[in-house]
Amino acid sequence: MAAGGHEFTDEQKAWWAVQPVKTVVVPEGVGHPVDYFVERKLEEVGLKMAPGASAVEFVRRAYFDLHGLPPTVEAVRKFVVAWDEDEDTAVAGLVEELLASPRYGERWGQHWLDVVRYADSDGYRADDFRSSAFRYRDYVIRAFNEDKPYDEFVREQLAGDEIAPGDPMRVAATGFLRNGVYEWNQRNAEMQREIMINEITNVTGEVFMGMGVGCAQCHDHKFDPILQKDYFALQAFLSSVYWPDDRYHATEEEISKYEKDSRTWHETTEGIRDEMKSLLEAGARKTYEFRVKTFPPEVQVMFRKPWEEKSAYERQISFLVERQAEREVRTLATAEKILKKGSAELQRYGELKEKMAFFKNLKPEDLPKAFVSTDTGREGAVVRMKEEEVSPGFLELLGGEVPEIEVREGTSGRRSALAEWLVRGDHPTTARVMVNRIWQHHFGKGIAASPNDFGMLGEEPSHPELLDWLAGEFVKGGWKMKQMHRLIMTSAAYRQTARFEPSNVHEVIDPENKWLWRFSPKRLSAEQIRDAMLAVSGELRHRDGGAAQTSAVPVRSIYVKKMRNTPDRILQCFDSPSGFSSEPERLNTTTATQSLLLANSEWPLARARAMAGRILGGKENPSAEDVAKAYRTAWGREASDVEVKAAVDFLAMQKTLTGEVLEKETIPKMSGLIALGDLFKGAEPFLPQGAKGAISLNPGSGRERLELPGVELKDDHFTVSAVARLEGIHADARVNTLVSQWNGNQESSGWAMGVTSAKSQYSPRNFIMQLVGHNPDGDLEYEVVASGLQVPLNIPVFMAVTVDPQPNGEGKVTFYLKDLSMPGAQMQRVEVSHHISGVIRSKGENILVGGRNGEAHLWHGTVARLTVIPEVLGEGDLMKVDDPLVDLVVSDITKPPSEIRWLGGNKAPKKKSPTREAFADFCHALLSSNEFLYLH
Amino acid sequence: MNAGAGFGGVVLSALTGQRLYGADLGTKNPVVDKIPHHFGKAKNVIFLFMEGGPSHLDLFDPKPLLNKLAGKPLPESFERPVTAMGEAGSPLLGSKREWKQHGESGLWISDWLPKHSAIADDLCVIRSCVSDGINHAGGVAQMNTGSVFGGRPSLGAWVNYGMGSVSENLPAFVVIKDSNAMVVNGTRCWGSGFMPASYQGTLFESGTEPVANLNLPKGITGERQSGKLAFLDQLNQGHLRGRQSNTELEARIQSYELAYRMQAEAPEAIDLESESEGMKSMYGLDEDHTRVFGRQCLMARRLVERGVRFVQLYHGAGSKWDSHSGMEKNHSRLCGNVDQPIVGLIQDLKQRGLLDETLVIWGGEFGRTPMSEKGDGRDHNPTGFTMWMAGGGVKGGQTIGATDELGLHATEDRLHVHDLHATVLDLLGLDHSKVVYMHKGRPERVDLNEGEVLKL
Repeated sequence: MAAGGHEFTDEQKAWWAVQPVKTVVVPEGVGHPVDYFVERKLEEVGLKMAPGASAVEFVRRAYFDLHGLPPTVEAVRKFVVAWDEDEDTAVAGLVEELLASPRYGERWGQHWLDVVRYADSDGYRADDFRSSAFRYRDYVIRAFNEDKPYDEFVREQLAGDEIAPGDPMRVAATGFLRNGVYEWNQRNAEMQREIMINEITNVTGEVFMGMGVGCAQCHDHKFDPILQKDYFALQAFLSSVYWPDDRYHATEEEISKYEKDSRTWHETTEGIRDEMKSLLEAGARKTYEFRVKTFPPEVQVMFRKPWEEKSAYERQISFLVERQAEREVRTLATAEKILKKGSAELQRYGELKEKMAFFKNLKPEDLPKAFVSTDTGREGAVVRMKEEEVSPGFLELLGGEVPEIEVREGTSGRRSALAEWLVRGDHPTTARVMVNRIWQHHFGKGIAASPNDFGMLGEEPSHPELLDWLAGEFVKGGWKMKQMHRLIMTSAAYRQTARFEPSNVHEVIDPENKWLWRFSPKRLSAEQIRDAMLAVSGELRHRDGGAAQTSAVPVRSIYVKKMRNTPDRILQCFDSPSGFSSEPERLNTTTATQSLLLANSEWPLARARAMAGRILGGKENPSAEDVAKAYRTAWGREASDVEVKAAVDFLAMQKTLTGEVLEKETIPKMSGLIALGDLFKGAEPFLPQGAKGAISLNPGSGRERLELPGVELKDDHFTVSAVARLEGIHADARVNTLVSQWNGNQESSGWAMGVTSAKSQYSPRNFIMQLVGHNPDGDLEYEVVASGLQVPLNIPVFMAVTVDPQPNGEGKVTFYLKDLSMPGAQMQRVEVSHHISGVIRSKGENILVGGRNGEAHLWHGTVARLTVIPEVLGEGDLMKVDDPLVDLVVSDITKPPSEIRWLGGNKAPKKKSPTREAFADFCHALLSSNEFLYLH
Repeated sequence: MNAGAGFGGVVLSALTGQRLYGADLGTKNPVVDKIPHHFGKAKNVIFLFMEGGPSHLDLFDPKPLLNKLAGKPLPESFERPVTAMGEAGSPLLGSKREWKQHGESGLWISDWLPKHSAIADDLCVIRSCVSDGINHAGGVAQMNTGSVFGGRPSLGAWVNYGMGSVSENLPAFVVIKDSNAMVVNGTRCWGSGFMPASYQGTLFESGTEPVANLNLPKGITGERQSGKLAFLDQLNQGHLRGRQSNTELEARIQSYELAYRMQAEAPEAIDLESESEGMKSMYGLDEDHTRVFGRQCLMARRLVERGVRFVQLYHGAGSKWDSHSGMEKNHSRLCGNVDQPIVGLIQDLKQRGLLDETLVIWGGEFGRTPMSEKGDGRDHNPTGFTMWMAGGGVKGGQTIGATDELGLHATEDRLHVHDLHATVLDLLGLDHSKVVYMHKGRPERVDLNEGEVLKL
């Protein structure tokens, strides 16, 4: 029967997943079709459905399922009113309302992003940020919100460039083909191509076909009737893909308008740009060539062929080489690095740059970059299995039909052919796979248990007829996903309560609730937890897509930057996948690490304080009604009198614990001075003989910043060093500033030495120098110079910077960091170049310790010594403090050094209100509670 | 067997049939009935990871021909590899080391590790290791997870999964680095990949907060926190009533208990103050250049004593062993850092009777090329490099496998990373082909179904 002559066994031919989708007829008058199937199964095994959920239980479930967010207090109230009138109408109305909201796409888009291994970074060592990847994420969210038919969704992701080349919104879908990891410096380009194409093949099989084809890469699949030849025949559809970096996320009209608008700029600056280019040309060429020559000789041969003569394969390889060579030119072949210091060329380059700056107003804003894939040309890249060429083809088991492929302009047309085969309606798995995923995310598990692999090894579907009926409805209804939600969510099966305890009979017959005798309880997912906390604290900000954000920004988690090597701690802790492979299901762990995070990390506590503030307003003493409101906000239901009383009792006790504590804890000593003691053990070589104490800087204590009145650094070349301890960082992106001479305004000269915080885009605890000064063009520029050195917490360190700007913009900051607690530790030294050429010194600003102008960027920790020297010292001389501008040491801990003055005088420390803090603790408990974290 | 017990959490996994949903939704994890625990001597593992790639040619694998051909190109008869920096055509770089045989077994060790002489008879040196990663990212990923890309569970996670945890209050898998620098690829080096997070490694950092979020939030006393947690417990107990069938709820309540116990135990486990001066100097804590790694080794011993299953120590975190140029200076220093501490660790484990049940593994993600780079350095060499094992039932004082005459390619008894991982499981008494985790409907193994056990 099979075209290739392979004989399959009867068992293989009977594999359920490849049987045509059966037309299942639901008899008239049996009620909701979904229930018809579920109830028949329950009856067979001798069980029945649990009672329906209450209005309150249902509305919470529906919100979390469709939006990933809790219902507001008002939404619950409204629903309960409608429910009391008519339950069915209320349910149908709620589902409609939820599906119409943009929050729906943000929730269901996340499910899809898991499956397509979406992330905002490359992975591997460099883990480069993919600044345009969000175009694909936004495409997905939009597709769900617009209820894009699934067949079109499949076509666009596999071949948007072939079917709609002029529509950037649809071409963006091909980001699907480049969501995989990428290694930025892999010289074995041929192996790299193979890895990438295999990855795309495997993901395509899992995502759209529900088949784990990866096994067949090396041999016929051991468990499923998928041949090795099938694998390569599938791969042949995808083998010509590459990732162009020069495309714009813009329509042709937008591009031609941009070109037209920038014509004047082009013409005016052509001469300047040509000259600039020619100055760098030799260096750039050398850099480029150096990189190309590090590839294997046979790869270089391919790369050097004329473009027209290259095969599709050779073009793919060439792109990989070019990508690395161009990255190198971009980072290494800059004027500052290529042209000799002080040379006429560099000076000329500087002049030209200045001229260019003069014309920048003529230039329209750059077009946004696209994140898309396409073929290298009309020719398809040859795929071989054991030396033999394999053409694009469909599964042997399904008859091994030969595809019709229409070559497109600029592409092989193969991917469209694959997409068309997948969505032609009678494909056995496409519709089943998707309706199964939808079912899975409503009920917690799929009708077929392994959503990415309908293989023979897994269990058969629990309700095969239901699966086929849903698949049939899906295709008949024009592949509309929202219709599937309506069907499922209005069923009695979905509307059962989870508040139903199993009896012995259930335990024996169906302990896993495969037959749906109740609604299975669920824990919230990582994104739901973070988003729900932000929602109830009142901080959540909604947006309409856009660039990825750090998680300090209170936007939904789907918009949080997903870096493969440095995942967000909260999301990772609650099992969000890392984006290395297609993940159809979330793990669901319960760990002590999660408890530590919920109880001890600053983030949930900050949400709790915000929630408390939102409920209390300016009120000092919470009432019983405030307590009830907090319950209502967090849990979506009315608390009982017993619960309210328990909380009121808790507040009464807790306020006695918070009040005293704060005062004692946050103000070490009114003088702000403490004995060196063990705090600076190991720091002795870096402290002068007479050092006895240290200055404690503690945000919120009133002992926060001090100034050195009249001390003003008047030089642009200087050294700052400190012996200090960092005892905490801000939970957001503020800088922990140790010393500064700057008013904090990016339009004013100045400098500040500090350490980044938890949510900094420069990674946390990064030792940095902020500089504002002139660039070689004479414009004021703000630059963050980051060392990449990580300052440890609660450990004495020696830290120093030397600032040495150069007129040509080739200056550098040298950072030094040494862990003093471990005498064997090396002095770490890092040089970082920057463009600021001078005028860093600010006029009229004093040197401040513990922060900068303004109260936001404070240092939290202790300082035992601080020096500022108006010259650039070398590594060996850092401790030679002959003629310092500042050398601050505490030699008597009963008396502050004469040169300092606490800012804000002797203002009493701000006490946190004990009653409000107690209420925040109550909110914190609510946000960590099982009732908040589980839908049960 | 409750594989999720202990620190990693109370994951009531599919193994007990109590979980609501999990990794494999209803598919039974075959690990329980498939592991025939054959007799394995090792119970614990200490993996000394020299990150960046130490040079086998200058430490354990002497090549007289290399010095003879120094300055000449690689002879045509050697298959030319793809090198990371593309300097495969550079002249060969001779080794400046002095080589001697040590111990009764006559094991070859270079003068870069002079103290190792004392433990020569404990080491089983494998000279024929092979990896697929030519860059650090791929190499480190494969040495840890079997695959050059991310996403798979690390060796420690597999061991944790296969063996379960002994300690209730400490993680079963602990990682300690020698500096603030991050290991290449970040935390996924000790991740659990597609397995539950309870199997992943926990990074212990120096300082007062060894584990993330172990300390109370700033400005909040123990009293206040206890008050809050007691109230939380009250809320959760109330919620549990009428929902007892959901065992996750109880598990989460318990996880706070665990967290509490860990707050007490984790700092104690790595507090070296109670160790005698003699013990400290045995590990090199009395000398500047050995103190850092010595502390790590001593912590490793303390952790193993307390039931931690798998300890991984990174030396040179952030590819410090990488020596594309100036190898003399780089390796002299790094070898000096680890020589005494490693000797101290092996001898201390031995004197405590722990060496028999503790498998110590030494190595990096690859070795280095016989070809020079930038004149006085060597490029990455994944096609033939050395690792050693000691203890855990491994016969010491032997050399296994060989590279070619220049140390470029492994030629005899090639031990691919997959084989290495299979061998580690074997030494722990686990059959690598049967420690299986079902993921996406497929049975996954530590060795990607490709490893073979080498009997040591």
